[in-house]
Amino acid sequence: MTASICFESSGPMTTVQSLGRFGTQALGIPVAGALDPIALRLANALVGNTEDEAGLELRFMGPRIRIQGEPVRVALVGTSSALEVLEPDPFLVPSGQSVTLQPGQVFRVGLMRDTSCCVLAVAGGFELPAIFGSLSTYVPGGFGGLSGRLIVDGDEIAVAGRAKNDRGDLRLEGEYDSSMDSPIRVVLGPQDDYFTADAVETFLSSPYVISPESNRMGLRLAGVRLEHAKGYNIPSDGIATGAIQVPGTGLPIVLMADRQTTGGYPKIATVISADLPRLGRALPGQEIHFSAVKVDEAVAIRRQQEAAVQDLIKGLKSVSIDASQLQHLLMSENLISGAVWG
Amino acid sequence: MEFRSSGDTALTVQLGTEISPEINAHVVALRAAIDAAKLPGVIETVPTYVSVLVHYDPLLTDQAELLDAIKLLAGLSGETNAAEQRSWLLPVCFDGADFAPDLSHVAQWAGVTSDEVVSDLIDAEQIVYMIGFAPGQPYLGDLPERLAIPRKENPVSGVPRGAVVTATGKTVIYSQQNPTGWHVVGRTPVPLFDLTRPKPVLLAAGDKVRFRRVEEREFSEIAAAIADDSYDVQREASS
Repeated sequence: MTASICFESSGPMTTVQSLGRFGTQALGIPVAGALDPIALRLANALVGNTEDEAGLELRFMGPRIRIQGEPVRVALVGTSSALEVLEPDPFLVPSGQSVTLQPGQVFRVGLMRDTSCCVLAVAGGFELPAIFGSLSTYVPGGFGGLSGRLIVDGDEIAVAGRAKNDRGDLRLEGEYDSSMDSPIRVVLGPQDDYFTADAVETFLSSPYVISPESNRMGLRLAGVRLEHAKGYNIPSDGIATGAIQVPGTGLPIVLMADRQTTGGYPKIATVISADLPRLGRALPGQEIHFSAVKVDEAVAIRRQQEAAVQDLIKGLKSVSIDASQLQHLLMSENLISGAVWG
Repeated sequence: MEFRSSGDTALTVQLGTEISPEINAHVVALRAAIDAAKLPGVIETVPTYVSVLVHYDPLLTDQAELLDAIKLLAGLSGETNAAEQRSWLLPVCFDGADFAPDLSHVAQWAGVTSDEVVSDLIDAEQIVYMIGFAPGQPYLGDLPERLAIPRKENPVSGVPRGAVVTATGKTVIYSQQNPTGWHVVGRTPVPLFDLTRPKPVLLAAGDKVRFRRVEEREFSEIAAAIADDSYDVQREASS
Protein backbone atom coordinates (compact mmCIF):
# COMPACT_ATOMS: atom_id res chain seq x y z
CA MET A 1 0.00 0.00 0.00
CA THR A 2 1.30 3.44 -0.80
CA ALA A 3 1.20 6.41 1.50
CA SER A 4 -1.33 9.14 1.02
CA ILE A 5 -2.67 12.14 2.86
CA CYS A 6 -6.41 12.60 3.16
CA PHE A 7 -7.90 16.03 3.80
CA GLU A 8 -10.62 15.56 6.43
CA SER A 9 -10.95 19.30 6.19
CA SER A 10 -9.12 21.33 3.58
CA GLY A 11 -8.64 24.76 5.10
CA PRO A 12 -9.89 27.75 3.09
CA MET A 13 -7.03 28.21 0.61
CA THR A 14 -4.75 25.20 0.57
CA THR A 15 -2.85 24.58 -2.67
CA VAL A 16 0.08 22.52 -3.92
CA GLN A 17 2.97 24.88 -4.67
CA SER A 18 6.59 24.46 -5.72
CA LEU A 19 9.10 27.24 -6.33
CA GLY A 20 7.19 28.12 -9.51
CA ARG A 21 6.80 27.36 -13.17
CA PHE A 22 9.61 28.84 -15.24
CA GLY A 23 10.33 28.91 -18.96
CA THR A 24 6.80 29.42 -20.28
CA GLN A 25 6.06 33.05 -19.40
CA ALA A 26 6.42 33.92 -23.11
CA LEU A 27 3.33 31.74 -23.68
CA GLY A 28 1.51 33.80 -21.07
CA ILE A 29 1.87 31.09 -18.41
CA PRO A 30 2.30 32.74 -14.98
CA VAL A 31 5.01 31.52 -12.60
CA ALA A 32 2.74 30.84 -9.58
CA GLY A 33 4.63 28.96 -6.81
CA ALA A 34 4.86 29.50 -3.06
CA LEU A 35 4.31 33.04 -1.74
CA ASP A 36 7.04 32.32 0.81
CA PRO A 37 9.65 30.31 -1.13
CA ILE A 38 12.07 30.35 1.82
CA ALA A 39 9.52 28.56 4.00
CA LEU A 40 9.09 25.94 1.25
CA ARG A 41 12.84 25.40 0.89
CA LEU A 42 13.34 25.04 4.64
CA ALA A 43 10.36 22.71 5.02
CA ASN A 44 11.65 20.57 2.16
CA ALA A 45 15.10 20.43 3.76
CA LEU A 46 13.54 19.29 7.04
CA VAL A 47 11.82 16.30 5.41
CA GLY A 48 14.75 15.37 3.17
CA ASN A 49 13.27 16.63 -0.12
CA THR A 50 15.08 18.58 -2.80
CA GLU A 51 14.51 22.30 -2.23
CA ASP A 52 12.18 22.71 -5.19
CA GLU A 53 9.84 19.83 -4.35
CA ALA A 54 6.19 20.85 -4.19
CA GLY A 55 4.56 21.17 -0.78
CA LEU A 56 1.27 22.47 0.55
CA GLU A 57 0.80 26.21 0.90
CA LEU A 58 -1.64 26.90 3.73
CA ARG A 59 -3.30 30.30 3.91
CA PHE A 60 -5.00 31.83 6.97
CA MET A 61 -6.06 28.43 8.37
CA GLY A 62 -4.58 25.02 7.78
CA PRO A 63 -6.15 21.67 6.92
CA ARG A 64 -6.93 18.59 9.01
CA ILE A 65 -5.11 15.64 7.48
CA ARG A 66 -5.24 11.86 8.05
CA ILE A 67 -2.17 9.78 7.19
CA GLN A 68 -2.99 6.62 5.24
CA GLY A 69 -1.15 3.51 4.06
CA GLU A 70 2.44 4.10 5.16
CA PRO A 71 4.27 6.40 7.60
CA VAL A 72 4.69 9.96 6.26
CA ARG A 73 7.20 12.58 7.37
CA VAL A 74 5.94 16.17 7.34
CA ALA A 75 7.25 19.57 8.44
CA LEU A 76 5.55 22.91 8.96
CA VAL A 77 7.52 26.13 8.37
CA GLY A 78 6.60 29.79 8.28
CA THR A 79 4.24 30.27 11.22
CA SER A 80 4.46 30.28 14.99
CA SER A 81 1.42 28.00 15.05
CA ALA A 82 2.22 24.38 15.85
CA LEU A 83 1.35 21.24 13.97
CA GLU A 84 -1.28 19.64 16.24
CA VAL A 85 -1.49 15.86 16.19
CA LEU A 86 -5.07 15.07 17.24
CA GLU A 87 -5.56 11.32 16.91
CA PRO A 88 -5.09 8.83 18.35
CA ASP A 89 -2.98 10.58 21.02
CA PRO A 90 -2.79 14.34 20.88
CA PHE A 91 0.54 16.14 20.98
CA LEU A 92 2.09 19.26 19.46
CA VAL A 93 5.00 19.52 17.04
CA PRO A 94 6.41 23.01 16.84
CA SER A 95 6.83 24.67 13.48
CA GLY A 96 10.36 24.28 12.10
CA GLN A 97 10.59 20.59 13.01
CA SER A 98 9.80 17.45 11.05
CA VAL A 99 7.73 14.61 12.45
CA THR A 100 7.08 11.13 11.12
CA LEU A 101 3.44 10.17 11.45
CA GLN A 102 1.90 6.71 11.28
CA PRO A 103 -1.11 5.59 9.24
CA GLY A 104 -4.26 6.55 11.11
CA GLN A 105 -2.71 9.55 12.81
CA VAL A 106 -4.58 12.79 12.23
CA PHE A 107 -3.15 16.29 12.53
CA ARG A 108 -4.19 19.79 11.81
CA VAL A 109 -2.76 23.27 11.46
CA GLY A 110 -5.12 25.79 13.01
CA LEU A 111 -5.63 29.48 12.52
CA MET A 112 -2.43 31.42 11.79
CA ARG A 113 -2.15 34.74 13.51
CA ASP A 114 1.35 35.79 12.50
CA THR A 115 1.19 35.25 8.74
CA SER A 116 -1.19 34.84 5.83
CA CYS A 117 0.62 31.73 4.62
CA CYS A 118 2.96 28.94 5.63
CA VAL A 119 4.16 25.70 4.11
CA LEU A 120 3.71 22.05 4.97
CA ALA A 121 6.27 19.83 3.24
CA VAL A 122 5.69 16.10 2.78
CA ALA A 123 8.69 13.79 2.39
CA GLY A 124 8.81 12.35 -1.12
CA GLY A 125 6.53 14.95 -2.66
CA PHE A 126 3.17 14.29 -4.31
CA GLU A 127 2.14 11.85 -6.99
CA LEU A 128 0.65 14.51 -9.27
CA PRO A 129 1.19 15.37 -12.95
CA ALA A 130 3.62 18.18 -13.77
CA ILE A 131 2.12 20.82 -16.06
CA PHE A 132 4.78 22.63 -18.12
CA GLY A 133 7.32 21.00 -15.83
CA SER A 134 5.89 22.15 -12.51
CA LEU A 135 3.43 21.03 -9.81
CA SER A 136 2.57 24.61 -8.78
CA THR A 137 -1.16 25.25 -8.73
CA TYR A 138 -2.37 28.17 -10.82
CA VAL A 139 -6.02 28.41 -9.80
CA PRO A 140 -7.12 31.15 -12.27
CA GLY A 141 -5.93 28.96 -15.16
CA GLY A 142 -7.21 25.75 -13.61
CA PHE A 143 -3.98 23.78 -13.90
CA GLY A 144 -1.15 22.45 -11.77
CA GLY A 145 -1.28 20.88 -8.32
CA LEU A 146 -4.42 18.84 -7.65
CA SER A 147 -6.67 19.39 -10.70
CA GLY A 148 -5.68 23.06 -10.89
CA ARG A 149 -7.77 24.04 -7.91
CA LEU A 150 -7.84 24.67 -4.18
CA ILE A 151 -7.82 21.52 -2.05
CA VAL A 152 -11.35 20.66 -0.85
CA ASP A 153 -12.66 18.44 1.95
CA GLY A 154 -12.26 14.77 1.15
CA ASP A 155 -9.37 15.19 -1.31
CA GLU A 156 -6.62 12.60 -1.13
CA ILE A 157 -3.11 12.93 -2.56
CA ALA A 158 -0.73 10.00 -2.98
CA VAL A 159 2.75 10.59 -1.60
CA ALA A 160 5.59 10.01 -4.08
CA GLY A 161 9.01 8.57 -3.33
CA ARG A 162 11.25 11.43 -4.40
CA ALA A 163 12.86 12.23 -1.03
CA LYS A 164 16.62 12.50 -1.55
CA ASN A 165 17.80 11.60 1.95
CA ASP A 166 16.63 10.23 5.26
CA ARG A 167 18.43 11.70 8.23
CA GLY A 168 15.60 11.11 10.67
CA ASP A 169 13.51 13.94 12.02
CA LEU A 170 15.18 17.33 12.02
CA ARG A 171 14.61 20.77 13.43
CA LEU A 172 15.62 24.28 12.41
CA GLU A 173 18.08 26.09 14.64
CA GLY A 174 17.18 29.76 14.58
CA GLU A 175 14.68 31.58 12.42
CA TYR A 176 14.80 33.38 9.14
CA ASP A 177 13.98 37.05 9.18
CA SER A 178 10.37 37.45 8.20
CA SER A 179 9.33 40.44 10.29
CA MET A 180 7.32 43.27 8.80
CA ASP A 181 8.81 45.88 11.13
CA SER A 182 11.29 47.29 8.63
CA PRO A 183 10.25 48.88 5.32
CA ILE A 184 9.73 46.77 2.20
CA ARG A 185 12.65 47.66 -0.07
CA VAL A 186 12.09 48.46 -3.74
CA VAL A 187 14.11 49.35 -6.80
CA LEU A 188 12.42 52.27 -8.57
CA GLY A 189 11.13 51.56 -12.07
CA PRO A 190 10.76 50.22 -14.67
CA GLN A 191 8.36 53.17 -15.23
CA ASP A 192 8.95 55.59 -12.34
CA ASP A 193 9.26 58.30 -15.02
CA TYR A 194 5.49 57.90 -15.61
CA PHE A 195 4.88 59.51 -12.20
CA THR A 196 5.36 63.01 -10.85
CA ALA A 197 8.36 63.56 -8.56
CA ASP A 198 5.83 64.22 -5.78
CA ALA A 199 4.18 60.86 -6.42
CA VAL A 200 7.49 58.98 -6.12
CA GLU A 201 8.25 60.91 -2.90
CA THR A 202 4.76 60.18 -1.57
CA PHE A 203 5.07 56.49 -2.43
CA LEU A 204 8.32 56.22 -0.47
CA SER A 205 7.15 58.20 2.55
CA SER A 206 3.50 57.20 3.10
CA PRO A 207 2.06 54.19 4.87
CA TYR A 208 0.02 51.75 2.76
CA VAL A 209 -2.42 49.20 4.11
CA ILE A 210 -2.91 45.79 2.51
CA SER A 211 -6.50 45.59 1.33
CA PRO A 212 -8.69 42.54 1.98
CA GLU A 213 -9.23 42.32 -1.81
CA SER A 214 -5.66 41.06 -2.12
CA ASN A 215 -4.91 37.55 -3.32
CA ARG A 216 -2.05 35.41 -4.64
CA MET A 217 -2.05 37.48 -7.83
CA GLY A 218 -1.58 40.85 -6.19
CA LEU A 219 -1.71 42.89 -3.01
CA ARG A 220 -4.00 45.87 -3.46
CA LEU A 221 -2.86 48.74 -1.28
CA ALA A 222 -4.95 51.46 0.35
CA GLY A 223 -3.35 54.82 1.09
CA VAL A 224 -2.38 58.03 -0.63
CA ARG A 225 -3.17 58.07 -4.36
CA LEU A 226 -0.21 58.48 -6.70
CA GLU A 227 -0.34 60.97 -9.54
CA HIS A 228 0.66 59.87 -13.03
CA ALA A 229 2.75 62.31 -15.07
CA LYS A 230 2.18 60.67 -18.47
CA GLY A 231 -1.13 58.86 -18.12
CA TYR A 232 -1.65 55.30 -17.01
CA ASN A 233 -1.32 53.44 -20.31
CA ILE A 234 2.00 51.99 -21.44
CA PRO A 235 2.58 49.50 -24.24
CA SER A 236 2.07 46.27 -22.26
CA ASP A 237 5.41 44.89 -21.20
CA GLY A 238 6.80 42.00 -19.20
CA ILE A 239 6.26 41.92 -15.43
CA ALA A 240 8.64 40.79 -12.70
CA THR A 241 7.28 39.36 -9.46
CA GLY A 242 7.11 42.25 -6.99
CA ALA A 243 6.36 44.87 -9.65
CA ILE A 244 4.15 47.64 -8.26
CA GLN A 245 1.69 48.73 -10.91
CA VAL A 246 -0.42 51.84 -10.48
CA PRO A 247 -3.68 51.87 -12.46
CA GLY A 248 -5.76 54.98 -13.04
CA THR A 249 -7.08 55.01 -9.47
CA GLY A 250 -3.56 55.94 -8.30
CA LEU A 251 -3.60 53.09 -5.77
CA PRO A 252 -0.65 50.70 -6.08
CA ILE A 253 -0.98 46.93 -6.60
CA VAL A 254 2.03 44.73 -5.77
CA LEU A 255 2.08 41.80 -8.18
CA MET A 256 2.78 38.50 -6.43
CA ALA A 257 3.19 34.79 -7.25
CA ASP A 258 0.12 34.35 -9.50
CA ARG A 259 0.80 37.64 -11.28
CA GLN A 260 0.14 38.05 -14.97
CA THR A 261 3.18 37.73 -17.29
CA THR A 262 2.64 41.15 -18.93
CA GLY A 263 0.63 44.27 -18.21
CA GLY A 264 -0.16 47.77 -19.41
CA TYR A 265 -0.19 49.90 -16.27
CA PRO A 266 3.01 51.77 -15.41
CA LYS A 267 5.08 50.20 -12.65
CA ILE A 268 6.50 52.75 -10.24
CA ALA A 269 8.87 50.33 -8.51
CA THR A 270 9.65 46.65 -7.97
CA VAL A 271 9.98 44.94 -4.59
CA ILE A 272 13.45 43.43 -4.21
CA SER A 273 13.55 39.65 -4.36
CA ALA A 274 14.84 39.32 -0.78
CA ASP A 275 11.72 41.05 0.56
CA LEU A 276 9.16 39.10 -1.49
CA PRO A 277 8.86 36.18 0.96
CA ARG A 278 7.99 38.42 3.92
CA LEU A 279 5.62 40.49 1.79
CA GLY A 280 4.00 37.23 0.66
CA ARG A 281 3.28 36.52 4.32
CA ALA A 282 1.67 39.90 4.99
CA LEU A 283 -1.88 39.92 6.35
CA PRO A 284 -4.78 42.04 5.09
CA GLY A 285 -4.99 45.18 7.21
CA GLN A 286 -1.24 45.22 7.80
CA GLU A 287 0.47 48.57 7.28
CA ILE A 288 3.62 48.65 5.18
CA HIS A 289 6.21 51.26 4.22
CA PHE A 290 8.47 51.28 1.19
CA SER A 291 12.08 52.40 0.91
CA ALA A 292 14.23 52.61 -2.23
CA VAL A 293 17.54 50.84 -2.83
CA LYS A 294 19.74 50.62 -5.91
CA VAL A 295 19.65 47.42 -7.91
CA ASP A 296 23.22 46.52 -6.86
CA GLU A 297 22.24 46.83 -3.20
CA ALA A 298 19.21 44.64 -3.89
CA VAL A 299 21.45 41.93 -5.34
CA ALA A 300 23.83 42.19 -2.36
CA ILE A 301 20.92 41.89 0.10
CA ARG A 302 19.58 38.86 -1.77
CA ARG A 303 22.97 37.15 -1.76
CA GLN A 304 23.31 37.79 1.96
CA GLN A 305 19.85 36.37 2.56
CA GLU A 306 20.68 33.32 0.47
CA ALA A 307 23.81 32.69 2.56
CA ALA A 308 21.66 32.86 5.70
CA VAL A 309 19.16 30.37 4.25
CA GLN A 310 22.03 28.02 3.31
CA ASP A 311 23.36 28.31 6.87
CA LEU A 312 19.96 27.38 8.27
CA ILE A 313 19.78 24.35 5.98
CA LYS A 314 23.33 23.26 6.88
CA GLY A 315 22.55 23.79 10.56
CA LEU A 316 19.53 21.47 10.76
CA LYS A 317 19.75 19.40 13.96
CA SER A 318 18.47 15.95 14.71
CA VAL A 319 15.47 15.86 16.98
CA SER A 320 17.38 14.34 19.86
CA ILE A 321 14.81 13.44 22.48
CA ASP A 322 12.79 10.35 21.70
CA ALA A 323 9.23 10.62 20.53
CA SER A 324 7.52 9.62 23.77
CA GLN A 325 9.53 12.16 25.76
CA LEU A 326 8.69 14.79 23.18
CA GLN A 327 5.05 13.89 23.31
CA HIS A 328 5.00 14.10 27.07
CA LEU A 329 6.87 17.38 27.07
CA LEU A 330 4.59 18.92 24.51
CA MET A 331 1.47 17.67 26.21
CA SER A 332 2.49 19.26 29.46
CA GLU A 333 3.22 22.46 27.58
CA ASN A 334 -0.20 22.15 26.05
CA LEU A 335 -1.83 21.99 29.49
CA ILE A 336 -0.31 25.35 30.25
CA SER A 337 -0.94 27.05 26.93
CA GLY A 338 -3.92 24.99 25.77
CA ALA A 339 -6.09 28.04 25.15
CA VAL A 340 -3.79 29.09 22.38
CA TRP A 341 -4.76 26.23 20.16
CA GLY A 342 -7.67 24.41 21.81
CA MET B 1 17.69 50.78 -26.99
CA GLU B 2 16.88 51.63 -23.38
CA PHE B 3 17.41 49.53 -20.26
CA ARG B 4 15.06 49.73 -17.30
CA SER B 5 15.42 47.85 -14.02
CA SER B 6 12.53 45.59 -13.10
CA GLY B 7 13.89 45.02 -9.61
CA ASP B 8 16.87 42.72 -9.07
CA THR B 9 15.45 39.74 -10.99
CA ALA B 10 14.51 41.22 -14.35
CA LEU B 11 15.74 43.72 -16.89
CA THR B 12 13.48 45.51 -19.37
CA VAL B 13 15.15 46.08 -22.73
CA GLN B 14 13.04 48.63 -24.58
CA LEU B 15 13.48 49.04 -28.34
CA GLY B 16 10.99 51.84 -28.99
CA THR B 17 8.11 53.79 -27.53
CA GLU B 18 5.44 53.49 -30.23
CA ILE B 19 3.87 50.15 -31.10
CA SER B 20 4.50 49.11 -34.69
CA PRO B 21 4.99 45.84 -36.55
CA GLU B 22 8.59 46.91 -37.34
CA ILE B 23 9.62 47.53 -33.72
CA ASN B 24 7.84 44.34 -32.72
CA ALA B 25 9.89 42.40 -35.30
CA HIS B 26 13.08 43.82 -33.73
CA VAL B 27 11.82 42.69 -30.33
CA VAL B 28 11.24 39.15 -31.60
CA ALA B 29 14.71 39.11 -33.21
CA LEU B 30 16.52 40.37 -30.11
CA ARG B 31 14.64 37.93 -27.93
CA ALA B 32 15.66 35.06 -30.22
CA ALA B 33 19.29 36.21 -30.04
CA ILE B 34 19.23 36.41 -26.22
CA ASP B 35 17.64 32.96 -25.96
CA ALA B 36 20.17 31.48 -28.40
CA ALA B 37 23.10 32.95 -26.43
CA LYS B 38 22.05 31.00 -23.31
CA LEU B 39 23.53 33.67 -21.05
CA PRO B 40 24.47 32.37 -17.60
CA GLY B 41 21.80 33.19 -15.02
CA VAL B 42 19.10 34.08 -17.55
CA ILE B 43 15.94 32.18 -16.59
CA GLU B 44 13.68 33.14 -19.47
CA THR B 45 12.74 36.03 -21.75
CA VAL B 46 9.35 37.58 -22.48
CA PRO B 47 8.91 39.50 -25.73
CA THR B 48 6.18 42.17 -25.77
CA TYR B 49 5.14 45.08 -28.04
CA VAL B 50 8.30 47.18 -27.81
CA SER B 51 10.50 45.44 -25.25
CA VAL B 52 12.01 42.20 -24.06
CA LEU B 53 11.90 41.37 -20.36
CA VAL B 54 14.89 39.28 -19.33
CA HIS B 55 14.22 37.33 -16.12
CA TYR B 56 17.44 36.41 -14.33
CA ASP B 57 18.74 34.82 -11.16
CA PRO B 58 20.57 37.48 -9.11
CA LEU B 59 22.60 34.74 -7.42
CA LEU B 60 24.16 33.85 -10.78
CA THR B 61 24.41 37.11 -12.70
CA ASP B 62 23.69 40.80 -12.33
CA GLN B 63 22.40 43.72 -14.31
CA ALA B 64 25.79 45.10 -15.38
CA GLU B 65 26.85 41.73 -16.81
CA LEU B 66 23.54 41.38 -18.69
CA LEU B 67 23.71 44.92 -20.06
CA ASP B 68 27.07 44.25 -21.68
CA ALA B 69 25.94 40.94 -23.17
CA ILE B 70 22.64 42.30 -24.51
CA LYS B 71 24.27 45.36 -26.08
CA LEU B 72 26.59 43.04 -27.91
CA LEU B 73 23.76 40.75 -29.03
CA ALA B 74 21.63 43.69 -30.20
CA GLY B 75 24.45 44.71 -32.54
CA LEU B 76 24.49 41.23 -34.04
CA SER B 77 20.79 40.35 -34.29
CA GLY B 78 19.11 41.10 -37.58
CA GLU B 79 15.59 40.35 -38.68
CA THR B 80 14.74 36.74 -37.96
CA ASN B 81 13.13 34.72 -40.69
CA ALA B 82 9.45 34.93 -40.03
CA ALA B 83 8.31 31.56 -38.77
CA GLU B 84 5.24 29.96 -40.29
CA GLN B 85 2.76 32.83 -40.54
CA ARG B 86 -0.78 31.63 -40.13
CA SER B 87 -4.10 33.34 -40.75
CA TRP B 88 -7.09 32.74 -38.53
CA LEU B 89 -10.77 33.55 -38.84
CA LEU B 90 -12.24 33.44 -35.34
CA PRO B 91 -16.00 33.39 -34.68
CA VAL B 92 -17.08 36.21 -32.33
CA CYS B 93 -20.51 37.13 -30.99
CA PHE B 94 -20.98 40.88 -30.53
CA ASP B 95 -24.62 40.77 -29.38
CA GLY B 96 -26.18 41.91 -26.13
CA ALA B 97 -25.07 42.91 -22.66
CA ASP B 98 -23.83 39.43 -21.81
CA PHE B 99 -21.42 39.07 -24.77
CA ALA B 100 -20.57 42.73 -25.34
CA PRO B 101 -21.32 44.78 -22.20
CA ASP B 102 -19.06 47.70 -23.17
CA LEU B 103 -19.82 47.85 -26.90
CA SER B 104 -22.21 50.80 -26.64
CA HIS B 105 -19.79 52.67 -24.37
CA VAL B 106 -16.99 52.25 -26.92
CA ALA B 107 -19.37 53.40 -29.68
CA GLN B 108 -20.38 56.43 -27.65
CA TRP B 109 -16.74 57.29 -26.92
CA ALA B 110 -15.87 56.97 -30.63
CA GLY B 111 -18.97 58.90 -31.71
CA VAL B 112 -20.25 56.07 -33.94
CA THR B 113 -22.94 53.39 -33.72
CA SER B 114 -22.37 49.98 -32.14
CA ASP B 115 -22.75 48.36 -35.58
CA GLU B 116 -20.01 50.59 -36.95
CA VAL B 117 -17.70 49.46 -34.13
CA VAL B 118 -18.47 45.84 -35.01
CA SER B 119 -17.78 46.58 -38.70
CA ASP B 120 -14.40 48.02 -37.78
CA LEU B 121 -13.66 44.96 -35.67
CA ILE B 122 -14.50 42.43 -38.40
CA ASP B 123 -12.91 44.42 -41.24
CA ALA B 124 -9.54 44.73 -39.54
CA GLU B 125 -6.86 42.16 -40.28
CA GLN B 126 -4.90 42.22 -37.04
CA ILE B 127 -1.51 40.73 -36.24
CA VAL B 128 -0.62 38.97 -33.02
CA TYR B 129 1.96 41.29 -31.42
CA MET B 130 2.54 39.19 -28.33
CA ILE B 131 1.18 36.52 -26.02
CA GLY B 132 0.83 37.63 -22.45
CA PHE B 133 -1.03 38.40 -19.23
CA ALA B 134 -2.59 34.93 -19.04
CA PRO B 135 -1.98 31.54 -20.69
CA GLY B 136 -2.08 31.81 -24.48
CA GLN B 137 -3.70 35.24 -24.42
CA PRO B 138 -3.01 37.19 -27.64
CA TYR B 139 -2.57 40.94 -28.02
CA LEU B 140 -3.80 41.94 -31.47
CA GLY B 141 -3.55 45.15 -33.45
CA ASP B 142 -4.21 47.48 -34.95
CA LEU B 143 -7.77 48.75 -35.05
CA PRO B 144 -8.73 52.00 -36.80
CA GLU B 145 -7.62 55.13 -34.94
CA ARG B 146 -11.18 56.06 -33.97
CA LEU B 147 -11.45 53.00 -31.72
CA ALA B 148 -8.35 53.87 -29.67
CA ILE B 149 -10.22 54.24 -26.38
CA PRO B 150 -8.05 54.38 -23.22
CA ARG B 151 -8.15 51.61 -20.64
CA LYS B 152 -10.63 51.84 -17.77
CA GLU B 153 -9.38 53.67 -14.70
CA ASN B 154 -9.81 50.66 -12.48
CA PRO B 155 -9.83 47.02 -13.57
CA VAL B 156 -13.13 45.14 -13.19
CA SER B 157 -13.13 41.49 -12.20
CA GLY B 158 -14.77 38.39 -13.58
CA VAL B 159 -14.41 38.92 -17.33
CA PRO B 160 -15.11 35.49 -18.87
CA ARG B 161 -12.85 33.32 -20.97
CA GLY B 162 -13.26 34.13 -24.66
CA ALA B 163 -14.05 37.80 -24.04
CA VAL B 164 -12.86 40.07 -26.85
CA VAL B 165 -11.71 43.29 -25.24
CA THR B 166 -10.28 46.47 -26.66
CA ALA B 167 -8.29 49.52 -25.55
CA THR B 168 -5.77 51.90 -27.16
CA GLY B 169 -6.54 50.48 -30.63
CA LYS B 170 -5.51 46.97 -29.63
CA THR B 171 -7.58 43.84 -29.07
CA VAL B 172 -7.12 41.05 -26.56
CA ILE B 173 -8.99 37.77 -26.40
CA TYR B 174 -9.23 36.44 -22.84
CA SER B 175 -7.97 32.90 -22.48
CA GLN B 176 -9.32 32.55 -18.93
CA GLN B 177 -11.56 34.46 -16.56
CA ASN B 178 -9.62 37.43 -15.22
CA PRO B 179 -9.96 41.05 -14.20
CA THR B 180 -9.58 43.56 -17.02
CA GLY B 181 -9.06 47.26 -17.52
CA TRP B 182 -10.15 46.88 -21.15
CA HIS B 183 -13.59 47.25 -22.73
CA VAL B 184 -15.52 44.04 -23.45
CA VAL B 185 -16.96 44.16 -26.98
CA GLY B 186 -17.57 40.50 -27.86
CA ARG B 187 -16.81 36.88 -27.08
CA THR B 188 -15.43 33.89 -29.01
CA PRO B 189 -16.33 30.29 -28.16
CA VAL B 190 -12.88 29.12 -29.36
CA PRO B 191 -10.51 28.43 -26.45
CA LEU B 192 -7.14 30.09 -27.01
CA PHE B 193 -5.59 27.91 -24.32
CA ASP B 194 -6.53 24.28 -23.91
CA LEU B 195 -4.31 21.80 -22.09
CA THR B 196 -6.00 18.87 -23.84
CA ARG B 197 -4.51 19.99 -27.18
CA PRO B 198 -1.00 18.84 -28.14
CA LYS B 199 -0.11 22.54 -28.44
CA PRO B 200 -2.19 24.19 -25.71
CA VAL B 201 -1.55 27.74 -26.98
CA LEU B 202 -3.49 28.40 -30.21
CA LEU B 203 -1.96 31.62 -31.55
CA ALA B 204 1.64 32.79 -31.90
CA ALA B 205 3.25 36.19 -32.31
CA GLY B 206 3.19 37.12 -36.01
CA ASP B 207 -0.09 35.28 -36.80
CA LYS B 208 -2.84 37.21 -38.60
CA VAL B 209 -6.35 37.20 -37.15
CA ARG B 210 -9.74 38.30 -38.42
CA PHE B 211 -13.09 38.04 -36.67
CA ARG B 212 -16.24 36.50 -38.15
CA ARG B 213 -19.51 37.76 -36.68
CA VAL B 214 -21.73 34.97 -35.33
CA GLU B 215 -25.16 35.14 -33.70
CA GLU B 216 -25.70 33.77 -30.22
CA ARG B 217 -27.14 30.55 -31.70
CA GLU B 218 -24.00 29.75 -33.72
CA PHE B 219 -21.85 30.72 -30.75
CA SER B 220 -23.69 28.09 -28.68
CA GLU B 221 -23.39 25.48 -31.45
CA ILE B 222 -19.64 25.99 -31.70
CA ALA B 223 -19.29 25.97 -27.91
CA ALA B 224 -21.23 22.69 -27.75
CA ALA B 225 -19.10 21.16 -30.53
CA ILE B 226 -15.96 22.18 -28.65
CA ALA B 227 -17.36 20.69 -25.44
CA ASP B 228 -17.95 17.26 -27.06
CA ASP B 229 -14.66 17.48 -28.94
CA SER B 230 -16.21 17.52 -32.42
CA TYR B 231 -14.95 20.98 -33.34
CA ASP B 232 -11.64 21.22 -35.12
CA VAL B 233 -10.26 24.61 -34.25
CA GLN B 234 -7.78 24.30 -37.09
CA ARG B 235 -10.64 24.53 -39.58
CA GLU B 236 -10.63 28.26 -39.02
CA ALA B 237 -7.03 28.42 -40.22
CA SER B 238 -6.46 29.46 -43.79
CA SER B 239 -3.11 29.80 -45.43
